[in-house]
Amino acid sequence: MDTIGFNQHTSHEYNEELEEIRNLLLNMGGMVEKQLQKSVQSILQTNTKMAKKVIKKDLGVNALEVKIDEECTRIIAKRQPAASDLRLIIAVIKCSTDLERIGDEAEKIAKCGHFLIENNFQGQFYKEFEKLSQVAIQNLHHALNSLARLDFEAALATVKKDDFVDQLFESLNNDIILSMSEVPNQIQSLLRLSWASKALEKVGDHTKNICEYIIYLVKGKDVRHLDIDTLKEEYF
Amino acid sequence: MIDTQITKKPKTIAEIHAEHKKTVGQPFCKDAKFSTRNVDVFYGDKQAIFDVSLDVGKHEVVALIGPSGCGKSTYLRCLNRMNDTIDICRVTGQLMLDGEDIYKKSQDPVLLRARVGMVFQKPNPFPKSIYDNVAYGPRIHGLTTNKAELDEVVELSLTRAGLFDEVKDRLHEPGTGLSGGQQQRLCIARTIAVQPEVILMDEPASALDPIATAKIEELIHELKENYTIVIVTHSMQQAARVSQRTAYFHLGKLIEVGDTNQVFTNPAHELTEKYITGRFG
Repeated sequence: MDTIGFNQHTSHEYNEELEEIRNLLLNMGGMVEKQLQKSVQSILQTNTKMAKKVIKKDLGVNALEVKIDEECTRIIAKRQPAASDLRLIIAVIKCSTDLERIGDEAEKIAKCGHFLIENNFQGQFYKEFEKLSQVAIQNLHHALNSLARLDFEAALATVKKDDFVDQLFESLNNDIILSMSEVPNQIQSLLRLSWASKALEKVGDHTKNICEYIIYLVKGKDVRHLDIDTLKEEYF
Repeated sequence: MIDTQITKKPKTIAEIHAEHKKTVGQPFCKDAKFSTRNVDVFYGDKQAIFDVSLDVGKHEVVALIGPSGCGKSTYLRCLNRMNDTIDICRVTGQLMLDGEDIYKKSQDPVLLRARVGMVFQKPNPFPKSIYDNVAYGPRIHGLTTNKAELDEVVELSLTRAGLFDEVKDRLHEPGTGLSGGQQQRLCIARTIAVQPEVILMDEPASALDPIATAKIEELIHELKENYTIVIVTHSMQQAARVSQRTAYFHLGKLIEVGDTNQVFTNPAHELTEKYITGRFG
């Protein structure tokens, strides 16, 4: 939980600046989560309008990333942050990059959705695709909650859940590949569904990255590229 | 929607300080130049330093940081017995330089101060020429036998202090006529002229502009090849830039000692964290 106390600086202005970048990041997280939900819905509900809206709104996500980077640069120049403040700034910059990429993946999914609707795809594997999307979106939601609460234990639990996203993707993708040989006239559409699934798998990877930055922010340990079980035993 | 943030009432600084019993981190090192154990310092009845144990390694730069009145300068002044000049000051505990007790009765404080030089916050050149400022120490300690040798020591010291090129044409002009930054480097040259083993610096750049500060920091970087340096500084960035280890003092207690990179990115103690991030209200 948040025992770091970002609002306890002697300088109230500094408190506000750090609060501002945290809020911007959480807003960006909320925006990206919504984009991802809408992109998946556009496929499952065959909603072209929704897909187009997601594609258009990605610009807003990109703009927010630029704004967060600018704010962080300004704080570094002005305050020379140290310790947990420095880790917050680094984590915010890193998380905003991953969130922006999740936004890009949502845009990709929406573009695939647009193609599938235009080509009257019959919705094979939508059940499996929906399951994959639910797990990926739920993980992102948990990661964003961990970020808001600075809850490293919840972040650690979410890191572990990424394996399930990978399994679901592998299984779905194998089925799609098999189906391609059976119905060659559907290859274009099946390929789009595969790309959309791959995008969800990448969302899982970015979510995992975000969780690792939360652990870094709260505990000061860089846990990237480490085996999570060993890590839990050694550090926590 | 993202869940709202949960906040917990933090402990006060006084509560955390009262709970602190033992220095966290790595106060000791294998190749210690200075080895101090259980040091207490009293000014009359008032205790200023509480049970401080800390090693300073050979050719290491250790930064002492902490809020005003935390005892970092008092501790620094114990290392060359500068506190002897204060009548009401009493130092207890063990302070060893190369394994020898610097507070033993037979220890001459003047000779100790030749081995452990000191640079102060405000540049304090003698009202003498630049040359004589640097030559003063070697003369009184009889380190040279003739003028040529003394000239060599003066030139070498000024060169090591990064000042020779700037003053070589006016060595016999008053040292007080130099700029603040040059005066401070002159004081460093004066300190190293007696070939000390350790240099103690008490906020050496706090009265200097950023360029003069950068020169002093560059000098510290070069001097660490040959000297052991202990520096007291109020500038966190300076401590982070010049030192290998950082020690954090609070109200007379040594709270944490650690690798400087670790202390400034992930301090182990809550008080250190609060101090270096400016969370002291």
